Amino acid sequence: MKPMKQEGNGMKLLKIDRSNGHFRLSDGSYLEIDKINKEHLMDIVTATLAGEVEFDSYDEGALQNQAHRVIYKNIVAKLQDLASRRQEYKDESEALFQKEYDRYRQNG
Amino acid sequence: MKKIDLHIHTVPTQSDAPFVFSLPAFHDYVTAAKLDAVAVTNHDVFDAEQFRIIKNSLPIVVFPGIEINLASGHLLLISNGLDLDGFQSKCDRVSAKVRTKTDSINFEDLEAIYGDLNNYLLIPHADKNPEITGTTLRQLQPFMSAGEVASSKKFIYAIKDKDKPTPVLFSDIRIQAKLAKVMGRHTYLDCTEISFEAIKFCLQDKSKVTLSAADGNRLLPVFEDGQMISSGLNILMGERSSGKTHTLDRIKETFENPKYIAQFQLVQQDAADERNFKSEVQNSRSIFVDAYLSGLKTIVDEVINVDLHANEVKLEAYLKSLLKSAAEAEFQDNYSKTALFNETEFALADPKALNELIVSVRTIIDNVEYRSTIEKFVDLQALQGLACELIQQLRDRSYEQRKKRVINEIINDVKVELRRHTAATQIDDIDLYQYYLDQKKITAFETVVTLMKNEATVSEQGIQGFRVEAKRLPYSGPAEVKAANGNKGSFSEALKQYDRPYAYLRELLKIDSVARADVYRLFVKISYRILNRHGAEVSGGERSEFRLLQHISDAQNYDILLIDEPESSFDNLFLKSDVNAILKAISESMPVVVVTHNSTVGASVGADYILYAKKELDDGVPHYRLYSGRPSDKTLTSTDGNILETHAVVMNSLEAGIEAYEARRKRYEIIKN
Repeated sequence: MKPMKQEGNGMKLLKIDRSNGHFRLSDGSYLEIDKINKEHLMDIVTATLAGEVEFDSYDEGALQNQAHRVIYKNIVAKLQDLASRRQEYKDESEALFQKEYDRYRQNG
Repeated sequence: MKKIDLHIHTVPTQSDAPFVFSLPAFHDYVTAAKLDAVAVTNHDVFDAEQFRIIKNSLPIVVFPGIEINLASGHLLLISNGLDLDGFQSKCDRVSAKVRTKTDSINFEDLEAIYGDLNNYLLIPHADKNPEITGTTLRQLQPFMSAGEVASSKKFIYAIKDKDKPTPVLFSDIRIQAKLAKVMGRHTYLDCTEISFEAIKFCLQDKSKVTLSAADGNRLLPVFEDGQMISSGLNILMGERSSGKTHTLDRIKETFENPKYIAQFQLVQQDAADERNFKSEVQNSRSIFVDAYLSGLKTIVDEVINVDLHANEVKLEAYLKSLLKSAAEAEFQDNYSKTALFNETEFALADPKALNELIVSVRTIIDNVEYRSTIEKFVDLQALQGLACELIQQLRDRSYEQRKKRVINEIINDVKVELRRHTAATQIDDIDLYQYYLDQKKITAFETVVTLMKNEATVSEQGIQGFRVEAKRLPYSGPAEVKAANGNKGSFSEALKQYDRPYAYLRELLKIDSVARADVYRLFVKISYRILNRHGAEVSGGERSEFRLLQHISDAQNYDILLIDEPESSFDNLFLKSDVNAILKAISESMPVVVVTHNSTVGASVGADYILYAKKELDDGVPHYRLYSGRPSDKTLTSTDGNILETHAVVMNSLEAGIEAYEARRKRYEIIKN
């Protein structure tokens, strides 16, 4: 089965290739998803919140490795959710001390 | 002398409780109070039609006016009444702007509407709510005739204070069929005729403005029959059932904010009373306890969520799983070999310190009171730059934290699911940094609590010769802890761990009636002792004395102090040495009325005015009369013209008559010789 594209023109963070799940490293190469650790996760979460990215949708049939299925399914769901709430994440942090920040920045 | 009341309501508005105006009541009011001039001043409205009816009906001078919501206070604006229609149209412009209780106009609006403000009497609320203050007051000042005050006490303050405007005291009454009692809430002007100009002229000179017709500001009118009391210290004497307490009650009713100390109110009656006294003293100082224990509270709040036992269990599980996982290394499968299978979560740090730092910088930037000092040492612009950078850092951190939270969720969900598919042992997650921190927190907490259990005097406060001493000491038994917990709960089990503060805390948290927010109060006891001037704990009688002194000093916050027979609670020495001096001092700033039979109070206190209540039979009909005068006057007079000799009155009231006094005097001489 042909993997589906999630989004338009951004870099691809997760892909399914030769029946295995892969994730993108910061140097642009890909590694199998069972090797992903929390630092890797930090990189792809940061990229997702930063701008246009894409990932192949979860497809049980396309993934042969059971462990890959578990990990891929979980991560792609979280990233999809994040991508749709990108602005909300940004706004929430910027709401901290907003009144003060705006006032002091003007004067400073 | 002319008596005026320039603050009277005749139209119910959004700022009044509902009432129905009554013209006959207005008539009765000005007659009973013997007023020479009044002004009609309704809230933000003027009704020319009603005003004409009132003016034509009352036998005295009536000025048109309005009470305006100006900025956040109230202003009386009174016109000379020559152009009623012009005044009406100006006031209509105020009404258009002030439609609800919270609407108001500003000074610029006032000038735009009324033009030259010198053509009016402007009387803002000065020492009366809602007061006009700040910029608006400064703008008004050049045009102000006087400032309205709320009580005779405040009137006398303002007369004495050269920085305050000429005070006026008015009734602020709603004219309706059942009129409120407003005796004494009028102002006398030293002028021979009443005109707008004469009033304006008199108000410029404080010496022409008084609370009574005859004696300036030394006497205040209290009853409708013209009865006065001194604005200083009054002694009210009289035989039993002559109406003294009744008179005191009537005086109480005429003041808005009286402090009344009833007969025997201060006497300690039984053991329960002693306990009440202790808790009274304790309650009045609970703010101190809170402040003293606030440091301990912070520590308890930190450790209350630390569960050392759970931490140990976790650590053990971690080590077990680690060893087991190592032993199973050769049996790893696809699931257990994934990187996330044994991944640990990101630790989430609390940005509390950074938050507090930003708030502190903001406090310095926004402080107005010490700005010049701050600017001497720090550049405010640089501080603002600092604040912006710190805020940016906080935002970045918060953004990072949110990302970490998402990742932790992924790690957690993936681990749980992977475990379902494999028999391999997953290494338990543990935050060793947190584990270590928790240990340290408990050690610090135990050290502090143990130190605090060392007995020590933590505060000493002198109150008029007495000393209130606060001591900290360990609890001596379950009953004491229970008392500190609002008399709820059973503490004997928990107290077995009292020497091990953390274990004790865990035990306390198991008790339902212990609120987590208040648990810090149950580690050390703060106990109070009231000591007399010799450093010994007070006796029952001394307790009453302490109470009286507390009540009297509290009286400063009231408009008049009324005390019924202080001698019923105290011995003469205390009355003479302490009570008299305090009463005299307090009467410098407010009226005081003391009912007494006691010569120590009556004759030694140095009263400014004597009131003598007497029940007399006029043609067989009992009549309660009040005689009054200065102690130096030969006679005391009643408002209906009866006269008594001052000397005889004092002897009869305080010394049980001249014969008894002479006999006593002789006996004392014999003892002395």
